[in-house]
Amino acid sequence: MVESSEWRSRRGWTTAVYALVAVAALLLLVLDRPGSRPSVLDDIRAHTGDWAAPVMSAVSAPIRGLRSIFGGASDYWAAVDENRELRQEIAQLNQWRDLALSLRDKVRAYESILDIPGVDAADPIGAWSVADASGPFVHARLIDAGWDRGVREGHPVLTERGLVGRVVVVGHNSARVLLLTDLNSRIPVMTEDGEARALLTGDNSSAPRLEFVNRDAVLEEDERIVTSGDGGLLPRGLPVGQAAPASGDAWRVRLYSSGDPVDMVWVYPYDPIMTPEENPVPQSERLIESAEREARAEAARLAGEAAAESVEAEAAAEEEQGETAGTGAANAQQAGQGG
Amino acid sequence: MKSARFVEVSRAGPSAVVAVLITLGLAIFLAAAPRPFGPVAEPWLHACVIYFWTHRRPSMMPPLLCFGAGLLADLITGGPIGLWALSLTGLSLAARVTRPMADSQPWPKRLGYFALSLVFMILVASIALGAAGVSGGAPLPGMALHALTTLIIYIPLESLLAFIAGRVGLRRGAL
Repeated sequence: MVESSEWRSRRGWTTAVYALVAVAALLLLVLDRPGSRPSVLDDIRAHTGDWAAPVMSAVSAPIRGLRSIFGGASDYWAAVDENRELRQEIAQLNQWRDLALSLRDKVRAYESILDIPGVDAADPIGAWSVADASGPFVHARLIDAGWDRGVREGHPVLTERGLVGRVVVVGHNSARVLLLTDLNSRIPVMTEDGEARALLTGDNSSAPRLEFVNRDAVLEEDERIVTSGDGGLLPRGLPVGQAAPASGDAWRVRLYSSGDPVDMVWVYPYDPIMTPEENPVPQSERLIESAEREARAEAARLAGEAAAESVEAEAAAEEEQGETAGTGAANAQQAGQGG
Repeated sequence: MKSARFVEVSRAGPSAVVAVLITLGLAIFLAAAPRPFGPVAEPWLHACVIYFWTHRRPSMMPPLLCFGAGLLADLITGGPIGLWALSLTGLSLAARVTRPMADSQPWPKRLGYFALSLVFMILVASIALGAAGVSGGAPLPGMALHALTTLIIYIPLESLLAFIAGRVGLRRGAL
């Protein structure tokens, strides 16, 4: 009887703990909604990432080894065919390289003529993807590079094939990358010719949707989709994937980065372009800058006038010299004839 | 005076506690590790481990430990904080309820009870996501795929965990 009451009280206690734990978990879920998430939760995530990155790196090392063994074996059998294909590809790529180099020079020349600032191409930061959280609830990755190596929130992350996502949480030695396929991912994209612009929206499937495609645009299957740079959050022109028709009039994007395991990634440092409202130039600064610009223009005008005057003076002097020399020559000729 | 739970854990021995914690930790980290062969629906290893230890000895897998394991999984995977914490706690509860029925049954029945518990866990997660208004709710087809791979891996994993439990002297107990 005593044992039975103890059993009952124990069972009641366990039920109470379950209820408490469920309430606590629900509260955390409500707090962690993207719109109303307190920054402390992001800090906790970043710290956990820092702490977990070395452990995850150690855990994923054998998996990476396994992949390289299997990959190595299959590569070995396909080496001869691959070699032949690569040679052909190199020959084709050499032509493309020449074209690219000539176009680069041309673009640089145009940029300097039109005074257009070029895109700052900072060195990419290489990192290993150490944790892969591509489950039904979230599509994210943990990479082993963080603030200390220059990674910042919002930076785009690419594999050798194309864009995989952007950094959402940064720790000292690690960062969390939200993949393009995640439910919360929204990236402005366009076709390579810039005619069709849309929003690439993740829905936890392997091919994200294209939403808000502009009405007049005509999309074609397999058309290259790149980042549009709209909103200034991502640079323009990063390769994303190819357009693929879905049911109805909908379009999806077959990502370049999908299919292969994402292992080594590159973070591209990029300073987002701030909107004027977020970073307004103070009135005093604007006045100073305007005065400086006027002063520079005045100085340039004066310098130009001075240069023109000096050129005129030089020309007059040369003319005078020429006339003197001409008179001397004529006199000499006359003297010669007289003699 | 020592509490009943403490006595229970002491009886199981420290090596059993270590075995439970290591297998649970490893399952959490492995579930988040990069997949070797590209994007496939990975099994929920931590769910398998929690279900197994709860069946073997419920006192070794108290609700707070399940909650903590879920919280760690949430933080490592970067998912909504509290989702795995709630899901794994729900699974542990389902495992406690199904334990008297699934005990000493052949493996197809045990697998059936595990499937039922997983369905309960998915329901809890879906309801919680909906109630909390987290973006888009729960993607059920994706979850079903993960649940399927979890079921496939459960029986071999159960054998492995049973072997570990035997090595650390953790026999099936009432609590």
